[in-house]
Amino acid sequence: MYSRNEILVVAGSVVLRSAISLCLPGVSKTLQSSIQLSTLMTSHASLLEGIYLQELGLDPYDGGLVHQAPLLVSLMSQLQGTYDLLYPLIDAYIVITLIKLAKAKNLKLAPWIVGASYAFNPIAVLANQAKSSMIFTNASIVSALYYAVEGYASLSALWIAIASYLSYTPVFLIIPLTKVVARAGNVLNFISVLILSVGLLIGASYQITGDWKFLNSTYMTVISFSKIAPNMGLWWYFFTEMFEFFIPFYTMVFSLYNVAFVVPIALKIEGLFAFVMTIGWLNFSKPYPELTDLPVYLSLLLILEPCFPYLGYVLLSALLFLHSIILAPIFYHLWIDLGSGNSNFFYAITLAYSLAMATTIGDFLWAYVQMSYHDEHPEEKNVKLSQL
Amino acid sequence: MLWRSVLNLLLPLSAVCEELNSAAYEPRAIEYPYEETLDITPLPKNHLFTSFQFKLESEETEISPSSHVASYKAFPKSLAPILKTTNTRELHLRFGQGWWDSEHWGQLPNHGETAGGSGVEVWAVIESSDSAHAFKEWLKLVNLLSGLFCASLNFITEENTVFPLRSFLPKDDIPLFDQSNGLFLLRAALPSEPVCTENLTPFVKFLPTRGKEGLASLLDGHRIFESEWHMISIDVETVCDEEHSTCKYSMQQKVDAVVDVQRALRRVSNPIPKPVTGDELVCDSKKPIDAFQCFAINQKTKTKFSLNEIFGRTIKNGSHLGRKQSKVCVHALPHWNVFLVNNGDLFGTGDNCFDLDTGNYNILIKTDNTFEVMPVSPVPVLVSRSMTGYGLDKGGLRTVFQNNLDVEAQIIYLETLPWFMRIYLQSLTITGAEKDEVIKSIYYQPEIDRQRPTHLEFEIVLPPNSTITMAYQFDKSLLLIAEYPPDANHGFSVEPGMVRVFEPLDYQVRTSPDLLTLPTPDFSMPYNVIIFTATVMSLTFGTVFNLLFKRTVPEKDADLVSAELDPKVKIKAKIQNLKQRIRSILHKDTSTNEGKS
Repeated sequence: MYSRNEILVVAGSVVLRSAISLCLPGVSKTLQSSIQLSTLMTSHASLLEGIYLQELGLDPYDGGLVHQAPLLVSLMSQLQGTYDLLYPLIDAYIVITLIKLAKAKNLKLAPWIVGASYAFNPIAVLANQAKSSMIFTNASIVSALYYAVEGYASLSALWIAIASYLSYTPVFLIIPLTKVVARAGNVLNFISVLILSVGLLIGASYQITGDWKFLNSTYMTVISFSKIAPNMGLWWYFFTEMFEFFIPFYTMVFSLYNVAFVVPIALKIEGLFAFVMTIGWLNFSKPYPELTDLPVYLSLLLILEPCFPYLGYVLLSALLFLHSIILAPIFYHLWIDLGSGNSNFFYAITLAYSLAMATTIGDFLWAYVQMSYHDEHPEEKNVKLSQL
Repeated sequence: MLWRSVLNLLLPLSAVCEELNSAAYEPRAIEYPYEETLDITPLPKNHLFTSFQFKLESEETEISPSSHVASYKAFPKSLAPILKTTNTRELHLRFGQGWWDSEHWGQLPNHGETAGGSGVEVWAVIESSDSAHAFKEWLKLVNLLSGLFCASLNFITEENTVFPLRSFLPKDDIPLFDQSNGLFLLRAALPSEPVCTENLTPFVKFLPTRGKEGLASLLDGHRIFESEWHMISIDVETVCDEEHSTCKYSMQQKVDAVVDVQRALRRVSNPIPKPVTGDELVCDSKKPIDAFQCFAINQKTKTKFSLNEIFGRTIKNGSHLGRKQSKVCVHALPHWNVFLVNNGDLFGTGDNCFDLDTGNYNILIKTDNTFEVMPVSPVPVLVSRSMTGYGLDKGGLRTVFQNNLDVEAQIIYLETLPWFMRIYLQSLTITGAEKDEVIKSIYYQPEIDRQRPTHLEFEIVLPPNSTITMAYQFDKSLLLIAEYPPDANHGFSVEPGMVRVFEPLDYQVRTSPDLLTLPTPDFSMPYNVIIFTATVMSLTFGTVFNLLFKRTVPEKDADLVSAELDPKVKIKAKIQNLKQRIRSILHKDTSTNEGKS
């Protein structure tokens, strides 16, 4: 069923990640405090604090530190001590799902390459060491997409419900996902299971914590952007510098911007393509983005292989990503630790990173537009296109 | 010259004492519930501890919610209505600055009870129906006090107020005026508040003497606030007599200061500082001394000074309003000579205590050996706190507790940390002993951004003669640009931690405040940031919007299609269309009108 290469990729991903955490335990410790690889919403330290407070009998959500979903905190408190194996295994799961997804799409690209693009992506490896809880969301998103492509509407709904429950933003992925499901599965089934599972997850969380405070810490913080800390996104510096009077207005503007293209993309573009582009757009415009979002997005771009011949700015995007990802920790260090740079250094790099995200979105959308035109007009092969 | 006259006067000393005592029995015209004393204690290294104490009481009123103080004698009229309207049963205010050198000066005065932390500290017991209402009353109280004391007490908000559990228990039972209410203890501190003369002026105005006479006439802000350590404290308590069901406010005001005598004298003799000449240098005898080497110490073996030189003023009369005469006591070993100077005459007593009546008074203190002073009381528990780590985004707090006693010390350690310090309780470590043996319980209320501070109360047992270190880690938040003070890179003060020793004795001591540096944005470029970010956003928005909604055509047909879509052509067509429609509507209208007519 799986080829030798695919098994090697999966095994390699687990071995590589476990080897780093076993041989170099200091790396994990350092990366956990990196603000590029995890944010306030997803940091491992706050997850551990939540577990600790829960064990002491205190409410983790009666404070400003813990933002992870209650069920995740409870689950992780059961799995204490296994983290060094758990996180590599979840990455392995993502790799397997990506391979299965590539197989389901019958790409020209060998499926193991898609798997390897995640398994050996340096950012994915580092993010795994940083133990950002975003990894659970990523795994859920990838499985939701896989089951949707395969036509398992209920499973897909369950996974996207989990992803939305864990970090709120994936809730907007439901719209393009519905389109993917519609091709092979039962939409009604999808929606009913989705509503049911979200209800169950929230209800179970209420049962565990005993009140609704967790909604405020997990979702309201993201919606209202009430916690400002440096991250890779567009929001933080804008709101730090913004005049207090305008903050509510701009919170609204940015929130609208975050979801502005979810529906148009889903309407105008084919399902799978729309889903990946929406991930890109959300990663670009969400309040608390982190580098952990990136590897899954990049690997999913490989699934859009049919449009590769139409891509125009691969080198530009790649260089922008390289430039911003390498310089981000350096400039942050200059600002925070050495004091020889100031906040503008890091801000500039986050802008470059956002531009890199924007170029990939623009490039792929244009490639899609060209591809679909040529599919509709097979007689006009190799004709240059323009838009009016 | 003066000195010789002192010696002459030493002989008829006993006679003078009798005279002074007889003055005390004279009937006094006014007897307000008011007392004042001044205690002076020489400390090692030419330091002098001075403690002004004023006690006053209000008139009695009935225990009932509607009762109010109608007449004022000693108690300040400005304060009582504030306490009344906010239902405050106890009020404690501390204005302090400087560092108390426990190693040389021993215990804090009054077992640390009247000492506060650096800056301003205030706590109060408020009678109220619930804690939310109590908090409202508290805000009203501190805002009113803010105006009264010219202090930034109005900066006390929910961001820095806590309800301490065990650190500030009231000494006595406080009766409820309304039995359905409860009592709430609230506390806040402003560690970076500069304490200055404008805080002393209202303090002096509280006294019935208004600083015009009595011991308060000695209080000069310039001198008090120049001292090494000073603490102004005000404690108001409601004292009730259950039998007669009456209550009154009892107030104690204190000004404690540790003065560096050498420095104060130098200021008088040498207003422009000059280097000390060789023959006046006192060298450290523990270090090598010869003609070329001298490790100078700021201490003179012989000293002679008067209060006039320390405070820049003399005492104008004793207070004529109080029940008792104003009293000055000097606590020193017998080889310290202490005299009361009145109109050029010198008096001495056996216990170095003097009652003051009418006249200008001054105290003269003289000794040949400043190295020997009254033995200081040993300090039971020492505490010090410091910041650890580097970088602006995270750090740690490290607190060292030292138990000097031969028995276990039971203490409560209270810490209130600002919300922008997000502490990780899981990182709490104890070195020097087992964690479970030292920390008996922790009360932890985590911060909520812009709503409440972190409130930590540790119940700690310190083993005999031990040093325990407690450490934990925290993250720092980024603030909004308007939340930074003008000198943002100076850092934010973290209020002192407070240790209260319960067993085997009562003692209070605070750490010094810590300076927390936060990451700062660039304050000069809000507009640039708005422009840059908005550029990236609109660029992306425009690109994606065009890609999604524009028509795709082959490049070679573009001109053709665009001619079709040319706005001029389009507008012409639209106008044509509109004309057609208006014409048809008009036509319809005329036809219907015709039909009606």
